Amino acid sequence: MVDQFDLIKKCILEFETEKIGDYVKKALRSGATPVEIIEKAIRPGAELAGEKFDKGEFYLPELVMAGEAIKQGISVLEPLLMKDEKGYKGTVITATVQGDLHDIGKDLVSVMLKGNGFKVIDLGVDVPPEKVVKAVKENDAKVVCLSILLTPAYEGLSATLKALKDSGLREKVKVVLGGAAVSPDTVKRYGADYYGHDANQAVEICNQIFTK
Amino acid sequence: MDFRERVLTALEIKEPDRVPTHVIALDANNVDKVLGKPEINDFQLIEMVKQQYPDSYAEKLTEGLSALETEIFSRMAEAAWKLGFDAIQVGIIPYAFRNDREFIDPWGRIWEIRNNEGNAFPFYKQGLITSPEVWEEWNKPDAEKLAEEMYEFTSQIYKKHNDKIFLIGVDDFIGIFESTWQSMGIVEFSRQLMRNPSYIKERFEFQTNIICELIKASFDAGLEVWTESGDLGHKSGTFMRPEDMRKLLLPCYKRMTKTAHKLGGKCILHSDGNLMGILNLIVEAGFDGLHSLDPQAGMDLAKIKQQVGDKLCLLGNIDVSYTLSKGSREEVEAEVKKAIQIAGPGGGFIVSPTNIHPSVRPENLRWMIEATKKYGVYPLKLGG
Repeated sequence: MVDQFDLIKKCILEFETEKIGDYVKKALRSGATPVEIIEKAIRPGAELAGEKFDKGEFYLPELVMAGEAIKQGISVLEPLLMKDEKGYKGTVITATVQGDLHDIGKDLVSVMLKGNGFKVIDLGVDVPPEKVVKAVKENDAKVVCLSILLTPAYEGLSATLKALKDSGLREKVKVVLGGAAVSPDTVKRYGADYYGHDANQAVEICNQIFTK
Repeated sequence: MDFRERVLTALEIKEPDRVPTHVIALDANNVDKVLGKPEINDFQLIEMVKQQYPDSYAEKLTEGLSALETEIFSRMAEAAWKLGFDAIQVGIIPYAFRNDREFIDPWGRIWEIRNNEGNAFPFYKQGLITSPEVWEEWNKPDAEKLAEEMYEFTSQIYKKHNDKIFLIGVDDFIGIFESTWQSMGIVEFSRQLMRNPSYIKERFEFQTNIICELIKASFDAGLEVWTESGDLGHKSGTFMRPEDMRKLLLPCYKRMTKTAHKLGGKCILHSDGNLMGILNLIVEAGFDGLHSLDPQAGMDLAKIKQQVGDKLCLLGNIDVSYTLSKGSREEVEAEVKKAIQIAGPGGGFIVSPTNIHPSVRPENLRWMIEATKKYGVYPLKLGG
């Protein structure tokens, strides 16, 4: 089994997007549970990829491809995990706010969170505030990660935070901001909770929130 | 000195009479605020053409796009002059209407047309070149045709505005890096970069051929400076590893800057993001200036001035995420003063917003220009 886990991890770090699904299936056939595969293979692989990015060993293309491998691996496990929600560390909503169509950063955050054992509801780009509120309610999410690349989309951010407040959800969810238009100042100015400089930091923040 | 001498002197890394001001573009909303709204806005025009030609409106709209773009950039130059800028960039973007809400361009990119208070605001959505095989079969952009369009476009704007403001040619949205990765999407670009770098090299070279022709055409039309535009960085570093950039992009950039220099002109690189790790590569590529220097992305103006300030003219550094969109007059003035204090001495600095978007306010741009006139006169007397 250790070999299977190592092979899955290797696929993430060597961007073997075509092979990882087969290794995950083999691990399942050998008796590993989906949670074990995430905890012992995919999460360590995702963490190592993130560390390599932090250290400058990986650049964006490598992180994107590691993310693609994680995505392929998770796609095999997701239907099984859906049956037993206990397998997840927690539920996170990700979205690019209304008025902004950029998706690279948001997609990376989504896939790294999935690779780290979170259930991720990715709402896509240009997401209206009411859709975020609906997703938080329906999934009982504790965290909302919002991506903003363009300053004009601050209006979408304000509206989303207001909608969460008006619906009585603001106290129940932590809001993490990321993207080129965002800084720690933005978090203070708009009354969000956390600033994630990159996908790794977003994962760290979610880990902190869910272990509190 | 007039605006032309002022800008060119700064690009020579010498002290002009004062620090020049520059903007990469102006948002159409701001242009409307400065000049007044046009009689018919972009979306009213689209609706009119749709009603008149329900079955062929996309083709009809595309036929008129070149004239519309010339008018848009002409108004932009006029507004920049009215605001008091010394320089602005102009360049064609060869879109075609796919339908009434989407453009497609010759590189296979789809753009969603957003309604920005009546003005069309294109947002990159996706690339259709999903493999080298698709590219092989693709009806590729024609360098000669694009150069003709560029010449026509630039000549008209140059004749109209050359005596008011310094015009810089630009390949906004179609620079080497951006047009290549966007045409295939970030995942396919990353895959090909790792597994098939010769394909990426081929694509970069293909685009360089086009850009070199555009430079020649815009210089033929009267321009003297070109900006290669494309975001090479994100907030913590460059997208590509520097050794890949050295192998794949540097030869292309060298060819581009040589083309401009051979014609007696200058070449600037515009890129958002954190480029601290590739400053020497940018110098080696032969660029005369570097624009954006976004403090939000960790571009440290003092370090940049110290490291490459004697080889590169520095343009930008005035924040658009807050200072120029929401900041007070005092905040704008303080940021301009600080930037001039750091990068102004010895020349080679041009005050400019790091980028432009619909929330940047014309009054803040005016304050930026006024502050430059107040603190940027040589010899600099800035104090603490």
